[in-house]
Amino acid sequence: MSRCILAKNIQLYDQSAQLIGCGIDIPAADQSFDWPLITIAGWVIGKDEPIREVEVALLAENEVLQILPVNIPRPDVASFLPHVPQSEKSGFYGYLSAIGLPKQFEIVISAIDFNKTVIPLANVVFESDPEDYRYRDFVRLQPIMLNALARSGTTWLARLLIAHPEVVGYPVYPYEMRAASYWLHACRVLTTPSNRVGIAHPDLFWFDLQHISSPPFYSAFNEDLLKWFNDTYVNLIALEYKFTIQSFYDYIAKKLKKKKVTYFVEKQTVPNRSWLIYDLYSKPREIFLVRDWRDVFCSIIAFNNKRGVVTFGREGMESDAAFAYRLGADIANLRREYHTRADRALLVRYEELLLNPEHELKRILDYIGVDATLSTIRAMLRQANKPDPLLQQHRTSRSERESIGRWKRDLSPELQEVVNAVFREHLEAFGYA
Amino acid sequence: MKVFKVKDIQYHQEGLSRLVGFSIDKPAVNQCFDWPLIEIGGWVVGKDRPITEVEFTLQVLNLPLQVAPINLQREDVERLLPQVKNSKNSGFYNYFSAIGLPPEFKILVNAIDCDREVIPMADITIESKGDLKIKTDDLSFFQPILVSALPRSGTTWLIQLLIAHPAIIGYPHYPYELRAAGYWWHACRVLTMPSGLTGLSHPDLFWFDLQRISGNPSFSIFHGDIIDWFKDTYINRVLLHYKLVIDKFYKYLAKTYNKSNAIFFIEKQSVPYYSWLAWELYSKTREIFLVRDWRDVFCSILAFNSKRDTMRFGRELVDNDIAFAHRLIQGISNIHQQFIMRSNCVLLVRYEDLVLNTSNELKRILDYIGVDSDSSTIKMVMEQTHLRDPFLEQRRIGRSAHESIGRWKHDLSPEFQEKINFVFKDYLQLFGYS
Repeated sequence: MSRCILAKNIQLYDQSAQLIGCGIDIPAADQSFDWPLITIAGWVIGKDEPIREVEVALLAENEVLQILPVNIPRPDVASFLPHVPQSEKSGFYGYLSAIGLPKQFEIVISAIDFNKTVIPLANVVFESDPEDYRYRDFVRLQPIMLNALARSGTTWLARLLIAHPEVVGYPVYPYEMRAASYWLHACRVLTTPSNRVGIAHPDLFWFDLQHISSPPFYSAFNEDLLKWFNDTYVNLIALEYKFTIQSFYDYIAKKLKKKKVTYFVEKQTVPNRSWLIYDLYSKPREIFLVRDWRDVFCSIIAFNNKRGVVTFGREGMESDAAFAYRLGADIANLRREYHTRADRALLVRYEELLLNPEHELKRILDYIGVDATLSTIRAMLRQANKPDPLLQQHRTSRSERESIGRWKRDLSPELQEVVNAVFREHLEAFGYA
Repeated sequence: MKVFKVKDIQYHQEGLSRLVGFSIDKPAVNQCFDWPLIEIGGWVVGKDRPITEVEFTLQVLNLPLQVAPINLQREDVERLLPQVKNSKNSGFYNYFSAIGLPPEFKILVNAIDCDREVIPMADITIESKGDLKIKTDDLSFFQPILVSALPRSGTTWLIQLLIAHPAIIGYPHYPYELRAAGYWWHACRVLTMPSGLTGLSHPDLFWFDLQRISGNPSFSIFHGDIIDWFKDTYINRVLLHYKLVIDKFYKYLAKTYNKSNAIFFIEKQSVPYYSWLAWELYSKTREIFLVRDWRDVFCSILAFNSKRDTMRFGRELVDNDIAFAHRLIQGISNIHQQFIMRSNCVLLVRYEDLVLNTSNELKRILDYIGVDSDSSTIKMVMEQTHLRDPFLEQRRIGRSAHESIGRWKHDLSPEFQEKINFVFKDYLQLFGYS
């Protein structure tokens, strides 16, 4: 039986102040679609400004998934609104791919006028059947994704894991090569149906030698080809990128003289992208590394000071207190992602990793499903603790132990009060009192 | 093995009015590079505005192929220009991939300032020698036939004729313009380009666009330790993968449309320059340059726009018809240039010959392709094509194909005819039109 995606609930917005009218024809509540495509269709007419396109975004992440031009002839709308000139071509129609989206997700469909004003039309909640097995495996190497905020100890954890004989990763500080993440992202972009806009248009893709969009013929205008794209093309792309990732990490493993690798590890800065690995792999592993958020906050500020640059989002904020609020939003995002996958991901606390490394590493390796004997763990720790001048640059406290609870020393009483208030709920959620 | 040699470097002195100074340290004239990466490096310092990046632009298409941010430390430049603020981090260095480029091509090295102003620095002419290994590993079932032509030259009809042949598959619906292989070949170019380390090819930024991707950020000058894998394994994987995708796609079309004997697929190619990649990737590529009296092409475009009440084919970009004729010359010049560069392996077909002597011309075309060209096959092809396609009828502007020949004499006023004759004169003669 093929995998289905069900439109569970639709909530329409009243936009009569900005629109002459609109209609969402597809999806309807309880309508189901064969995975991976969801049809989005309807019509919309602006009151003062013509509507240029309709945007479909993931509600939680505010991430644009698809843009559909408003230019489809709608004779029914024209006869209903005969005096409105835009009514004749007020329709939109296209597809959204559910590849890499969670089992349950909510989209917001919005009209965008020529002034780029966003006018929400409807929210739709979808639920898909359990993960598909079509794309799974055929590859030996499985992914371990490390999700964390910056300055949470991912560099240390990645360094530790790479020291395991069955785990491969790019072995150079700051262990942030995202080769697989790029190919997994490519997998999503290249299997998205075309909206025939910009370089996704069949006549325009040639004119950019630095970017490529989805195949222009994987669209509502070539219905006769949809089956091939859905059944064959998507599989070909997914498999090719899995093999490319394996080939890349086999090359790294060979350079490192690691002969029995079964996992590759990468840091992941956008945790909601992990959903794709559950579609593609049978044994993906995902670790959420957390740390006392007040220490994360201090570490970022200390790291910026040490390097003489302002990064990690602090650059867009006027004050440290304002930055704490911004960090709070990132933590909320990480927290939401962890809760959606708490049944399959592993939560690791930085403090426990530092204070009780053998015990914590055993827990991590058991979760991954690789050799977790004490001798292996000790060899990993010896390897990871070898002096590395680059790693030394990365540190902002004299020792790991001193990095725990640094906020009590680093912050003024006033700023301590701010971060305690801003992070309180998130500290409690992750077991920090 | 294919190698590239730098034939010539021309520096633009006029750029110095906006630059404190610049240098192209790499490549040097006569320097050679192994396929497919060519390195360009140097330094540049802006006079009034800082330079943010250097663009390597493919001259013939005037499209940027690669960028290199200006951020590499150049202590030598700092010593040379101690009073100049931006001299310390004025260096740039990057590779670009020459996959799908012709035996000789020119790269424009341009400085881009913070207001996106383009300041020319140098033109680098590069030539290649040798064959690409991948062609000998040609595992494709289908081989390509590319039809390179200006719009309104008869490509729709030629493709309709050719896909009626049992050995040739193409998308069988009007306007026969599915450029599936064209898109996947383009993906080969883009995805095998080393990272420009900016925008979507930056390792921290590629995530943030779900509509477009650029080259892999790990394929960059900052990861010299893994460049061999990208050069030796990844690029071949990408090229072979997309050949496989194209093969699977046309196998599906062949099955869907009951063409079990098809061994070629056919596509229109609107940018003939891009054909070089197909010649690199396939062992039996075929390319047909379809030309037509340019005056008739001009009239046909104007009539098509009038019939549809639209402005297309570049007419929308100019103020009047005579300016459009001059614009059309650029396209004709490109066709001519590409035809001359590949004249030893491509076939020139005149629309008029195809209309007036269809069976002879079809035989010549099928013989060039290397498929069955006996009279019964040609008869069958012509009969199938004559089964009217209602969409094709809509497209037709003249009353009949015969009447479409020399239409410029009826469509244009004597004064305009004179002007048009003058504009197209050289290119008419070059393609055998008096």
